[in-house]
Amino acid sequence: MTVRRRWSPAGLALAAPTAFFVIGPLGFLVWMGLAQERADFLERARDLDLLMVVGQVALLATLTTVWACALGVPLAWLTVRTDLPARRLLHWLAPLPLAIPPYIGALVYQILLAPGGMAPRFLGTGSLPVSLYSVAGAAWILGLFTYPYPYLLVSGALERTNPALEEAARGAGLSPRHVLTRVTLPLLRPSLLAGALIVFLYGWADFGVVSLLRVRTLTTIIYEYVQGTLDWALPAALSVLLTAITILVLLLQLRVLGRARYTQIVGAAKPAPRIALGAWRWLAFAYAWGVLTLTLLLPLGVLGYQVSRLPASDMGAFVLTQWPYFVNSLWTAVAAASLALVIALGIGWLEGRGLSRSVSGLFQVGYAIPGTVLGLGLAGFLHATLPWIYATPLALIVAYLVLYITPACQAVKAALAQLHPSIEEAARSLGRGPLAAFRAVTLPLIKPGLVAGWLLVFVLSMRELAATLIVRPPGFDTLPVRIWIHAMDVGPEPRAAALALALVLTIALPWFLLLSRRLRGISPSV
Amino acid sequence: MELLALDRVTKRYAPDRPPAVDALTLTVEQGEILALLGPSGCGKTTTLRLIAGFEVPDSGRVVIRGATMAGPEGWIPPEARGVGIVFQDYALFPHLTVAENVGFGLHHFGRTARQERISQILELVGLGSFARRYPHELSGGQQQRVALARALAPAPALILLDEPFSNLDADLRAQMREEVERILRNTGTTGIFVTHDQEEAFTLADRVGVLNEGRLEQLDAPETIYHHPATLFVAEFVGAADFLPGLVTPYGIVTELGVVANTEAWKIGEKVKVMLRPDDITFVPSSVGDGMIIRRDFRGSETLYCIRLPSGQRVHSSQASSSLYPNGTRVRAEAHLIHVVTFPA
Repeated sequence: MTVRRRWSPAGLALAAPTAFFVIGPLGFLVWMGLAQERADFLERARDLDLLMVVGQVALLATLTTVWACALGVPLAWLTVRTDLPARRLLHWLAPLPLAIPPYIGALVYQILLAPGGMAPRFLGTGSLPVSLYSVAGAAWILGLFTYPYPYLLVSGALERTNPALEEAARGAGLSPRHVLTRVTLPLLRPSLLAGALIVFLYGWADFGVVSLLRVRTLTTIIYEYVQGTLDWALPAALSVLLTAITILVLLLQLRVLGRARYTQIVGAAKPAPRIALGAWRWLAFAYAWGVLTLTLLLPLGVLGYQVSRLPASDMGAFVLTQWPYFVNSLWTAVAAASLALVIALGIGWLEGRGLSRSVSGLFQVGYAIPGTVLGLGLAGFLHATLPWIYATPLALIVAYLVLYITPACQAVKAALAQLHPSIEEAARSLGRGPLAAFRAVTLPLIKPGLVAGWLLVFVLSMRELAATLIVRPPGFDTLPVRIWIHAMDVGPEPRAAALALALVLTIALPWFLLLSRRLRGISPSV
Repeated sequence: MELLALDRVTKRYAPDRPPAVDALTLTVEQGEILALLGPSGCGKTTTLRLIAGFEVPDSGRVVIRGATMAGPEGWIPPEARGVGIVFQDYALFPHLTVAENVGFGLHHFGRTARQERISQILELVGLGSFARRYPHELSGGQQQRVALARALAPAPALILLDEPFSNLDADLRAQMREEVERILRNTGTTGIFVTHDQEEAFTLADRVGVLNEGRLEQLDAPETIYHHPATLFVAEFVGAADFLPGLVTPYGIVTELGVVANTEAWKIGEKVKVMLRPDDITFVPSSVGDGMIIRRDFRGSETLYCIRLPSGQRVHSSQASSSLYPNGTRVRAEAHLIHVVTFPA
């Protein structure tokens, strides 16, 4: 009998480098972290007050989650299921704050609320009663700029809910209030949980916001060590701790979500009837616009105002000096997005032909690693194994690939899942070989998904800060790095705002395109 | 001329499960239309995919026009087999127009030859004016015609149709059935289609192969399949059938409804089952009759009665739609067997 074609060489060709770049950095950190004396580590952990720090990070992540859900979930329900005025516009605007990276949000609110900032000066006081430079302040910022995750997931679930289920509950004699609490909300549980977990992990692993607001967390301690000493052991151990908890939370999510089926995919179900808010309408309206003001209008306004304060004569020189950083960001993000797409396409194609899911599974591990940790692990690992990549822009591209290939894979997979296998078989039966059939039929049909995947990786790479700070070659700054350095060293001043505005505008256009494609599988990134 | 031959073709998807196709042997003549009939999971679609080249047989041989497509000496990929396929979901390329869909398999043709062939085929299926439409702008019946035209365009030796009418409404189904047969006959194309609908198999095919658990139970003309089912499975799956216990005696097979001829030379004293089709049984209402009507199904063109015999055995009788007797009517049932079909009890 003929040997069945199994593509194992091609599968291996993909799996081997993946394993190398994903497992390598993590393995390096584990090895480094374990290579120290236990007593020595415990003593240093005491010096750092490690338990307190972990507790503080957990508190930060929890506060962020509660705050983001409080912003996003009611807004989702209001725009999808009620007669809120201007709900279409709101539904369209609500995900846009994701185009503002939280560290830029932190910069904006520093300009506004820091002692001597716009608000205290306007109020005529030196500082505000609650300091922005605290766990509460960091949670405030992180929640404001991550609320679109729960918003998107919950509003998507609400749109997909089969109204017949609610009608059945009414038919069974439940009052509208009981329908909400016993049918609608339980059906939302998985998407709510998924959204909350994304935000929780975001808060747990954040570096940009907490460093700008001088909150001590695991990531900032790691970064200080990397900057200040050549000592690897302690940051490596902290990285392992950070990653272990991240992966634990993700596994928990898989367990919780893996059990029941909650989606009710319906063909041409009529949309659920909207609930009349009555007198509450205008309160809800004020709430919705309040959220958007804090997360979108105010930040853009503040950045714009700051830029307008730059003397026009300095503008030209400033743009000239900053231009190279913009170019650095742009070409590394473009390269990462393009490579990610090619790899994701290869994985999708091979998985459609019976390759095991191990390759994309491996990349998912990469996606779970906090940026700071990946930066540290990758820097050390590349230094030890591939010194010719270490300290070149190539290392940055590798970092972006490991971090963000999963969304690209998801986009490609979602696009491929739309295609019935008979489409490709039809092409085969009409005389095209496997590759020719793929090119003539599959590729054109999945193009929208590929574009979305590319844009997503581009946006995520463009705004990446934590890993970039550690991995970048000396002197090779990206836009996020410049913004961060400006804000850290000089403070929240107009030139940092100008750079931030440039980044937001660069991200906003692809983000618009993504949202208009109604891509819902959006995912966390630091 | 023999166009397709399957020789003991076996396909197993998992080592611990029974084979999906089990030592299947059959031949199809040039110009013939063959139906593969069977319940879902019987292996009929797998057989089609083995012929098309989407599955590789574990053993056995697939031969098309004398050339081995799959066998010990090698395996030819689908694109090199010259076999056209009409998929159950049509699998039309949504990004291509009707003309581009039909021309997809004509990539070796020159530009003008290709245009000519496309319009020729579209005329054949009656879609000449739809060339510039996209698939989603067509009705279900029109999409099916495009799928057929696309498969026919490269003039394949053999066309495979996978449940071709299952996505169509009932009235459209009959019309498309006729049309597909006309097109296949006019072009002299050999066709194999799989279906679970016996009416479809009977009206369209020259021969019907009944599949069960991967094995070919019977391959014969529709009339033979219906009147002389080779196995109990075929008798039960094709058409309605009741089985009346009978005892073989020197005078014939004695049953509750009389004596029938022992055409299959069973030994005296053996117990057998006699197959009764609903059209084999008639009855007359009679106050002394020992049968009783226990159910009446009005089906439009016929009325199907279920009659309980004294032994408790139930038999079905098909009567004209104008014959109306209420439940509980006492009747005398009679069997009029033109073809006696018996199975071991």
